[in-house]
Amino acid sequence: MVSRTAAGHLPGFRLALASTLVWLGLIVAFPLAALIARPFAGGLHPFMHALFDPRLLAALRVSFGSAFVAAAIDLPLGLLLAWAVVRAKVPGHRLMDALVELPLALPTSVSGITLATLYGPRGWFGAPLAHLGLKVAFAPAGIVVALMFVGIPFVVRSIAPVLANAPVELEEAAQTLGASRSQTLWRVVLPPLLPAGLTAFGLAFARAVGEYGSVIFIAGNQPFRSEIAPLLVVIRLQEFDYAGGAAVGLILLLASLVILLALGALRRRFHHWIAA
Amino acid sequence: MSVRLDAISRRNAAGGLILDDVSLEIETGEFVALVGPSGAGKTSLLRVIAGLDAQSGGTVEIDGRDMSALPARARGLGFVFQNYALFGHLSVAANIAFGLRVLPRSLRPSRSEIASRVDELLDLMQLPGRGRDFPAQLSGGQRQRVALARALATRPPVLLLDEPFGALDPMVRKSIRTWLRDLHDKLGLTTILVTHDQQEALEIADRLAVMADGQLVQAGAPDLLEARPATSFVMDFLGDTVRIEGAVRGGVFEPEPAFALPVAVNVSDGPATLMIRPHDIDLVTGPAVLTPLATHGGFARYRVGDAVTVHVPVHVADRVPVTGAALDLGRGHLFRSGKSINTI
Ligand SMILES: Nc1ncnc2c1ncn2[C@@H]1O[C@H](COP(=O)(O)OP(=O)(O)OP(=O)(O)O)[C@@H](O)[C@H]1O
Ligand SMILES: [Mg+2]
Repeated sequence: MVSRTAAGHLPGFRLALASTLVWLGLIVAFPLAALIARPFAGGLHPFMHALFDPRLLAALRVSFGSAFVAAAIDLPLGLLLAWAVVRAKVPGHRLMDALVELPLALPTSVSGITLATLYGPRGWFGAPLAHLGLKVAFAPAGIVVALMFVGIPFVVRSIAPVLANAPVELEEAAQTLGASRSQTLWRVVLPPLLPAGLTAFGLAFARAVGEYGSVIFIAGNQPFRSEIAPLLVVIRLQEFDYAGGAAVGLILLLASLVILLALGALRRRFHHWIAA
Repeated sequence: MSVRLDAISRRNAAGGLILDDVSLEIETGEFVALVGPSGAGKTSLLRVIAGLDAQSGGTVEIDGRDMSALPARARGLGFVFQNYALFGHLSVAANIAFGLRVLPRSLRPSRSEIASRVDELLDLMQLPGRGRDFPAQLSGGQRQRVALARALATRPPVLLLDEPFGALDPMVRKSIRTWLRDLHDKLGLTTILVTHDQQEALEIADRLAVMADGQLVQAGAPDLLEARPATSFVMDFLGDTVRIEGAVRGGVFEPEPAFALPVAVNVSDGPATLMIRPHDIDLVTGPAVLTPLATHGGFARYRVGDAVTVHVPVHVADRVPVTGAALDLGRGHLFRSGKSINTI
């Protein structure tokens, strides 16, 4: 993007920058620093002990694994939804557009209970699925369903504007060059969505890793099987094991940071695509 | 290959005619410039030929084959968009190779054949070694040539260009247009070029096709259009004009300004507009004050009265009446409601 220095042009820029940094420090950096410092408060030993707890490792695997699967499924679903809203303009697309953000506004406990009821053994979706021998609620699949629900708005909102602004001439150019509909889709329409898709995946994934409220109602929460890491934080705190709780939090933080940095690096590889 | 448009019409969503009974035949190897005021329907016509839009009536024939039912992808024509429409996520080489790579497997050249075709086109477009760059890294003129190379990669017999040089500066336009004409001749193309630029149209095309309000007003070689302009737009488009209002009474055009002489004509009575090139005006002795202006391009320029500028070739400038002048408009063209009613 544009990287000219703004300092010379905007009056009060320095003051605004300074106060922004102070607030950013208070709101973001201090709590993070506290989170990083807290596990070591009792020395390195309790931290290392918490770290190699097999229950924690299982919870991390469940958390990151389901977040990854949920974000990966959200991506094509969100793309279809974005397409329906901004390109196909299906009947009711305005209502759909408004509904997309609903999962963000809903208290997560409400989403969790609703999903648990829907996918429960006697729910609208759960009953037919149970018939097929598939158990969603109170099983690892339930976690993925809940995470998909909270993640999809991020995918739609990241992809829709890019899709809406894609020049229609590109598709026409592909047609005059002999491309079929599916060739146009795969070679011309979808590739430019890749950077936005990475952003979408990153947002949905990050949200899913930290999600707590909706998951615990549908997951079943069996240690080693369907227990997510954020739940383990709460459990450790209830056991007055503050170092253990903070250690889980720190691991979640670091792992998420590494993954988001990797996605950012991947996205920067596409900078030369912009503005043709 | 020849292109034959027969009574093409197209309506917009509201039912208005944006193309109205357009018929035009273009011979194999011909270069036609499609000109006309903004909103005349030039882009609409080009899109119908390419198959990007469907006509509401009439037929498009290419090389004697009716193309009307074929979608754009099956017509095999080269199309260059005004804003290039390059694929930003593909390298220059991949952009150029696009049309070859989407061919069905049985027709698709091998990888190495595609690569050498791309190199050949990059050389032809004077862009050697730029294949790995991305469109965002090129200048406007370079992007334009990539768009052209991409359209030419599959060797289409017909090339359709919609104001391809619109965004380029005048110097680049000038060199790219002669280069395009050479390319057209070298590759044996049949080309239709939409342009707003009179110089460009005259320099590059064998024939001009002039559109207005969705209709084809006139088509012909530049000197035919110059000799018999069908509308005042054609006259305006082809060069500087002086416009004199007046009326025809009893076989004589009587100009409104007192310093212009009446002209004998052969048309019915009524209001009329006379249009004439500044260098076709002859100056004779008369009542108007003559103000000399700067000499330019071999013409001595004078202002007659307070509005009309006259160009007199320098070698006859000594015959200009110095005391006072009147205009002899005998070499002008007469129009009524924008349509030619007579060449005088
Ligand atoms: N998609 C459309 N829907 C409705 N009307 C349209 C559409 N596209 C063009 N028109 C109308 O058709 C007419 C011709 O438009 P067109 O774009 O062909 O003009 P043009 O000669 O290419 O003009 P310009 O020189 O400004 O590019 C215009 O009156 C325009 O308003
Ligand atoms: Mg146009």
